[in-house]
Amino acid sequence: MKRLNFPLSVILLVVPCAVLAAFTHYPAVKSLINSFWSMGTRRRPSQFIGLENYQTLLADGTLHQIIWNSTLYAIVTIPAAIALSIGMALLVNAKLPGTALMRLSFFLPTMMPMIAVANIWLFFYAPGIGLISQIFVLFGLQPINFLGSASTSLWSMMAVAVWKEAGLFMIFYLAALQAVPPNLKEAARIEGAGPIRIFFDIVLPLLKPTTVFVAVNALINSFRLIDHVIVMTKGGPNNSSALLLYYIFEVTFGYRDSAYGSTLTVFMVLLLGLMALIQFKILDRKTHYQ
Amino acid sequence: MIQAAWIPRAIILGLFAFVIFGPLANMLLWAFTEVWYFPHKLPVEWGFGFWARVFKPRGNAMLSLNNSVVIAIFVVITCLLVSIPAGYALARGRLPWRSLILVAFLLPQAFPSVAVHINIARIFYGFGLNGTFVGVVLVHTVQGLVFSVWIATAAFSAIDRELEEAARNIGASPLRTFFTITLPMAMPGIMASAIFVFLQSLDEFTGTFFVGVPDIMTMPLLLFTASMEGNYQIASITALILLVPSVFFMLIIERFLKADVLAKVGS
Repeated sequence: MKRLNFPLSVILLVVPCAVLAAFTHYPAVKSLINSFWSMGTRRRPSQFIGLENYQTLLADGTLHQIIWNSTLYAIVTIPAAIALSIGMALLVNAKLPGTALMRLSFFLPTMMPMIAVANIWLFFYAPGIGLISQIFVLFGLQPINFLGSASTSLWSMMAVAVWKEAGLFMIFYLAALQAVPPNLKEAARIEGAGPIRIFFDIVLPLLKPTTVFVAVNALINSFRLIDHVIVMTKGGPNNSSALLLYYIFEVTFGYRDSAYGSTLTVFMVLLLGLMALIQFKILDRKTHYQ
Repeated sequence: MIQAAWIPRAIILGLFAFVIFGPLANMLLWAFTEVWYFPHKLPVEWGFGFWARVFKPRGNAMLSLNNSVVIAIFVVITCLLVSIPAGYALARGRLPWRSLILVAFLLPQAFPSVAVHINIARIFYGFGLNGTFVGVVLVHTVQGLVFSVWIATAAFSAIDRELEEAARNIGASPLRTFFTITLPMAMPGIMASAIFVFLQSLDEFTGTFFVGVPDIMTMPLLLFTASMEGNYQIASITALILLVPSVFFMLIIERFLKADVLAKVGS
């Protein structure tokens, strides 16, 4: 069959593109436009105010804390998820008895809906009767109210995110590990390199393309997933576990300030784009293999 | 005799097992609890009382399970109706901006979905779609589309064009060729995307939360409400029900996890 002619292809694509534009691209553009307008009320219709919303944004003290939270969250969860997933991939790749079961267990958290994961961890962290509290008591330690105290709430969120994501990244690393030519490792072994040296000098550099892919995905996810914040802490106590997207949600629905919510959305997208760019640049420079 | 090398490995595996299954075990305890309060280490009373409440016909849970499944079915149908023609056009069409269109379909994946949902909720509010069945189906469909269009495009691109040409040469009409040759061959990929879209819709929380509340109750929303009310038993049972399709799906795709299939991803 010859290629589909142009008019027919366009007809087939009209509906999908319209749906996509109406429900994802239009809302995105609308955020950008809204960010230059004031919040309309019944008495005062919204009017063009230029960069005023952005001035509010710069002066917003809560936002500073939230940016710090989000940054810390990304800085900790991304490397942690990467390190853990490489570790799990190595374990599974080692061809020991029971690897099929291990692979399934590692992958299990990834398959679970985020909302269920958030609740599972809510019970796990529960002060007093939660399993973690009980283990602390078992070892004679003072139990901690993980979600209820400002010093631990963000870290508790991080643990959930890494738990959920590492299994997915493991799959990509597993695939990459199996593509590492065995003769390279063999040659290094003959030259007298130990297993640790082989891993850091041969395997890890070969995994770089996968790491780029995983790192970018982990970065995007660290900003996009907030189900657990909504379920477990609602950003509290005292905004200690609020992430940027959660703040947008709170401003838009809690304070009903959709103009400022839009401004924050634009800010977040810019930030995300910038960071993805930097990440690509840094990691790309070190990627020698394609 | 146990070799010394096994000891650190066993400790690592034990830690992994605890970290992965500890939270799950905690949830299972709650699912079979009648009464549990501090300082008891284990539930004070065990039982199936809350299971009976969840599975009560016409109960809240059964209603929301029903809602979730019906919504997911509609989402899959809508996604397939849109993505099959689109995928076919993108795979076979003579299109000038093909890659641009594909990127446009991928873009929402990078854009924070909650931000989109918030805006959709506002737009839907204007059309009176908030709290309606159609509104929720639309929100889920938009999310599923990103994925299903890409998969459909890949599935159609992978089909050997000569088979289609052979069918045409012996006199089959283009439409007949599509339905007897092309579509059946693309079916595995399309089915995979349908399953994925189904699960995604079943598990979707934030979009439903923004657009559907308070009139459309789905399983994830019920789970959220139960846990906010401090009803950990109902929340655990609901979470367990939600896990069933995911785990089932995982067992199906388990053979694909053997990695040679995924070897090309990301590199």
